[in-house]
Amino acid sequence: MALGATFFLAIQYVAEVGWSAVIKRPLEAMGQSLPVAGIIMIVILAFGGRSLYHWMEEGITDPNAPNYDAILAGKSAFLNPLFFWIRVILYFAIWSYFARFFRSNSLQMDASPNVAAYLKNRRFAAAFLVLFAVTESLMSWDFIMSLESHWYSTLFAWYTFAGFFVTSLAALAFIVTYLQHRGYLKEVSEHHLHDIGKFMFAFSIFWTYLWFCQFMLIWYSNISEEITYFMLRQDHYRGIWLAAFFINFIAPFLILMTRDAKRKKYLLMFMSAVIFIGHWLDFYIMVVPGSMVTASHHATAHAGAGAHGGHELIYGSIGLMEIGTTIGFLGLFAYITQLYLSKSPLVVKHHPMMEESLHHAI
Amino acid sequence: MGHHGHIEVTSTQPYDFTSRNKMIAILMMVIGVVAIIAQFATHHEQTWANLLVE
Repeated sequence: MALGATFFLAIQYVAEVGWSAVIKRPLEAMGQSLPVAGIIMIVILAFGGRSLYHWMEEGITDPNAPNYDAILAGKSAFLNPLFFWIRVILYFAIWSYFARFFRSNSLQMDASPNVAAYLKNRRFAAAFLVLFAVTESLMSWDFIMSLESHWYSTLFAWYTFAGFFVTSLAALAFIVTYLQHRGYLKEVSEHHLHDIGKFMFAFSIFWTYLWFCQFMLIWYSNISEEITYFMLRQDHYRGIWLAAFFINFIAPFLILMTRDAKRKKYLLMFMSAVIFIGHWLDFYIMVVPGSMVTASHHATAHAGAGAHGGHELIYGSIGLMEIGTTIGFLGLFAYITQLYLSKSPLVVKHHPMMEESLHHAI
Repeated sequence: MGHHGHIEVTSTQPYDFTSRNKMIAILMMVIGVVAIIAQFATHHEQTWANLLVE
């Protein structure tokens, strides 16, 4: 959500968007979670990397090792621990730097009409978008696709992007409507909400388009090295897999289609929660099945069956633990976002596009 | 149709992060920490995956 918000903020600068000037502070505040997210991610990968990623296993690329994997040896120029760690650190350093940079220039616009700060953000936003395109793609391969390191999909980076970006938009809608509920952001009109709702609707459809493209092409070609991804999910996670599709496509499609729906504050807030749950399920279905195969492999090896012995698959499930973990991370995100919202005025005081934003009407 | 009159910017003050909201956020984090610890103690195979989902 923090990365998607920073990306959306950068687009506003590069495209010189006027209408969104009144909602830039919530976007800036959302992006401030990135350094903390980076630290947490480094801890997860440092302690849990070998439990999650089959390609991190000792000896897996060594032809003399009993667990040698020729496919992973072929991918080792990219999928090796040193290069992986360099990439991980670079991702979070780049994203955190830009999120901080945009906010610090934005704060300069509070003191006086500072067009130079706005133009500086516009220039850096252009650079950020280029870096984002590269790092987001690599990140999706590193963190998610490599969980099933024999499998690949050429549109996986787009698919991941669509999922987390629409979640960011949903979070933005939730934060803006919550602030209005508390009596803040009176400058935000139903026209602004309508635009945020349109983005939520459009990117839900975009996600569906990518979901179907990926599924249909793999199902139609029916190649064994590709189809395993969907077989695992259809056979053992069918309920979650279908729920993610229906919640992320049917619900926004039917509920957010009309003009009125996108302009109603509490309906938009409700749809933000629905989209969040739907995309949480989608990320669950992307991450858990593959990592549970690796976990099963480790569990069998530790039980003494040996690396090449047959092993029983352990399947993931959703229960109180998973819900509790999600509540914890939401609490952290809510804390950081509110903390930064409380540190500066909720609207950029001398934003050059403020008049246009205040008079925005569609 | 746009608004033609002058519109005043009223959000010149920061958001008030109330102690109630702080407590709710901290309580949510505590629930998360408890859930993670409980997972490691019970079905640890899925814990790292759950953390990665977040």
